[in-house]
Amino acid sequence: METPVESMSVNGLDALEIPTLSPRALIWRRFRRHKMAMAGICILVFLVLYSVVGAFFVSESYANYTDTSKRLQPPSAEHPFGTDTVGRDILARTIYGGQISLLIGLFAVLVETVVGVLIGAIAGYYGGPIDSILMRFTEAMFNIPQLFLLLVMAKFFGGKIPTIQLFGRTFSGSVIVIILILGLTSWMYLARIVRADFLSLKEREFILAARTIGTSNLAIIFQHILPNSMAPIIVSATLGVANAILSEAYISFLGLGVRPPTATWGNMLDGAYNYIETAPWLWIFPGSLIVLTVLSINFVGDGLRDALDPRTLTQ
Amino acid sequence: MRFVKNENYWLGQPKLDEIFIRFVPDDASQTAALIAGDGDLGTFPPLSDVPALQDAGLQIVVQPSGYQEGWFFNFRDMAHPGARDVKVRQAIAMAIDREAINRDLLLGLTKAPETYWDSLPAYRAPDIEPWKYNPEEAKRLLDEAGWIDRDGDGIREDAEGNKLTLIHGTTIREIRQDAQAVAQQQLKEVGIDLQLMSQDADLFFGSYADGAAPALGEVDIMEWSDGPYFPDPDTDYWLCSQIPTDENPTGYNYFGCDEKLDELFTRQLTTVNVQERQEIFHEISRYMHEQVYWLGMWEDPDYWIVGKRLTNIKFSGVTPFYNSIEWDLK
Amino acid sequence: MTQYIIRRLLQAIPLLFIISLILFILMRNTGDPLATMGGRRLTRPEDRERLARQFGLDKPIYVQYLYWLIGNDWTKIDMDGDGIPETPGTRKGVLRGEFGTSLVIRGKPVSTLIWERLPNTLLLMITTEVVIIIFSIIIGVYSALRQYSVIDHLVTTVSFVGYSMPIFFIALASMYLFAVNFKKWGLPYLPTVGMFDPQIGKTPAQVALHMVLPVFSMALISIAGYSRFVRATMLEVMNEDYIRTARAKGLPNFTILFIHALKNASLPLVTIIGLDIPMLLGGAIVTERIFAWPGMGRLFLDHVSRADTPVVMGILMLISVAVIVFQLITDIVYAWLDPRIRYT
Repeated sequence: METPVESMSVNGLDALEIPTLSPRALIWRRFRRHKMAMAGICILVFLVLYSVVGAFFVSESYANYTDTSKRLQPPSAEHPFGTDTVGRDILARTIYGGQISLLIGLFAVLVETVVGVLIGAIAGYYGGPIDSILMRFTEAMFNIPQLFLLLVMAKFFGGKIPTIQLFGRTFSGSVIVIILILGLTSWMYLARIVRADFLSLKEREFILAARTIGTSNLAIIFQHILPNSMAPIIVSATLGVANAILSEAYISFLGLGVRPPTATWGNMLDGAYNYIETAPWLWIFPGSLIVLTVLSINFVGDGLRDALDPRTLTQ
Repeated sequence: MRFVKNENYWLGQPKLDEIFIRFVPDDASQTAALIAGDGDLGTFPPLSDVPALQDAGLQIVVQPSGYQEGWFFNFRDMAHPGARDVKVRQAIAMAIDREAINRDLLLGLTKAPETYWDSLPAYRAPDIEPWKYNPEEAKRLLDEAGWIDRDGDGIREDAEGNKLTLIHGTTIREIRQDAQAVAQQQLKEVGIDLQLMSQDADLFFGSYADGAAPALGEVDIMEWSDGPYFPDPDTDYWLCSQIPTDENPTGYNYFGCDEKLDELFTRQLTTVNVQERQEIFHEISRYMHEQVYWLGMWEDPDYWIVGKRLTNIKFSGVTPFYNSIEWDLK
Repeated sequence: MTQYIIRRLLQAIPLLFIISLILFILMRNTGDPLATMGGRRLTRPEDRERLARQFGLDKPIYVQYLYWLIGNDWTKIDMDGDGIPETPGTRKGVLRGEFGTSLVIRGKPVSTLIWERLPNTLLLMITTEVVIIIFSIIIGVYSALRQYSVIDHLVTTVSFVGYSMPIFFIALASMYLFAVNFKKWGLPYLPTVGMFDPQIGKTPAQVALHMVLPVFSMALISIAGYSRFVRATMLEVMNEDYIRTARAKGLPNFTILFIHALKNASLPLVTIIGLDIPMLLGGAIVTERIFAWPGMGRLFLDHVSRADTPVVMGILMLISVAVIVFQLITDIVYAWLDPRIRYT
């Protein structure tokens, strides 16, 4: 984050008024003032603690422990969130499900950002026929509603990736599948933003200067232009996490998401609508956690957008 | 659809004047209509609605259809050595509490079948001793077969260090995924690690040419609901000639070639005498039960919901209406 | 303007072509439509071979795509499996307006299947869209006029919460409250599933009653977001010179608000509604599933799970065309609302 100074302090007067603050401190200061965003951060920290620290109190095998004689029990002292259709403890499952859901959110955005930035950067920087081919493709992907595309892709990759071992734990291969397809169906928006940024930035003097002294294309893209379009990328990535968690819940809800017994907040909801009347705890707890997570991420994203907006640099 | 009584029926006058058949758009409307008394007979309620229906005083009638949910073991060469080991298969049969699955997950409406021919009692050996839930015996059998937990991680290994990790695959129906989770838990207690796989039916039942996992033999245990050519006991699932290969990509013996079984199945096909044929099937069912090539989970019957008013109703696996002449309302 | 529309329509052709190619390749690699055709049993080998020939699934994928696109009535196909093509093909292909026949519901034309369901989905979508527009304008304008009032703050907060809500959560929660609990408390309760009570029949009143919860679930999220947009743009527009001029001229408040200000403030709303159509369609899948609404979303789910390529392709292409058309309409309406924009 060294170079943004250049573009952000275009408005030189403002920079003079508060000369002591670095842009980073400025951003933080403005972010802190956004009450909802701070509340969002707090809730997120709590949710991460919930699913990480909670794991020290209950084991994963307990979360997957079935006892059919205790199925569909309402919340009680023994099972604070009740039990599901095969007698698993819902509290324990929301803890481990939270880990997977958050993981999916983060990694899906990683995939999304890498694909989106690469396509956007290449299209914007090189222009011409490469640009028009890439943008036609982007537009085509954009035109199919994401959920439809997700469902088709979920089947395309479904079951093709075996179970994996990571950190001494076993993950259903479908976790990887979901991460991939969520990433691969959501990069289009980001690619457009990045492309637009690149189109305008590549004609600026400092880029022309870099080019005249023989800097390679790759170096220009990644060292000179990209840092200048970080702000929208960060905001879009933050909001992308919320979107990915939501999308995971949607496809899991439709039965095409992460396969049991690996719990996610989304797949805990699968089939729960059969029990709306008889066992509402099946969907109330995981559902509320999803809403809480998405809500706080959206608040943080909103705060970041305000804080990173160069037009409001000094407020 | 409306059926009016035939005044001239040769067996006498039906007691009901009319039978209405109404098509409801979904399960929930059927349940609601039956509970409200708007209907007297329904079929295939979702399991989650069964308690509500029973509470409302309706009767759930289970009619065997010839289909039974069961585990098909893969004992082809590419299968896990554990799945090919008869002792392991027997241990699995004893490690799973099938009674509890039927009692709790299927709400006690069904029983665990012992053989593939339980729906056709004449063709099932009468002297079969059911596999009883007995985890201790299962552990003993596994120890005896040389599957011992050598590294203390709770999963057994053979002498070469192959972990007893079996892949279990089925389709994404909710009850199947639930039962999968239960089986995984129970097998873990005897030291068998079950990896679960579930796919949409069109992927799972895809052909060898499509690269579907069961056809390629990538799944050690496959679960679905199936049966013989009911009411005939024949099936050609276990014929050696049906093993899918590059030359025979549409073959559907995903399980394996056992020469004794192949001979028996081939012989019964050409046996005309009913009694002789029954005896061959007794031998087949006994042999398959002992080898645990197929392990029954629950019967997959037709379900009927009978309202409080309706009396004298009888069902068969073929049609619910065969005695409609005797139906009556209280 | 006409020239612009024609150009946009021409641009849509390669776009639809790419979309169809992507989707076709994805679909033909996601499962085997023959797998579930044996009833509850595995499909018998001889049936499998015969059906594959009948449906043309034994051909390489580019041939299948070609047949889907332009039909196969110009060539002969091998139906009896002797390796010699003898039967003339009958399919006309998408380009000649025929989407083929379903593989699952054998022989039923895709267009018939879709036409049976489309009106139900459209009914749900259009009602939802109208509800969204009316409510978001009322709420948005109100909170713009009463900036920083309690209602205004409430709307802002609720809109954020609503925006983060997955449809299924709203749907489940509203079903739980308005159907299950209202029934328990002896209050008049709403029906949860289906389009009408089979006891009463498909009367307009029944359909309307059954639409309340699905429309509510789908609209809530969008109303939340849109009303904030209306509020923001209204605030911006209200400070413009021409509004001040209008006020100075002594025009009645109502005219200023709804004729002058709202017309311009609705610009961003139009764009957002146009762009959000795909999202709403996605939401329709979930809503139709939960509320057992017999629409296209459920048709899609049923057929995608059985790899019924023609039906799934038909639905997806229809939606893609709809999305493109909506974008175009959005642009046109935009130009009509804002005289400064001229397309040439």
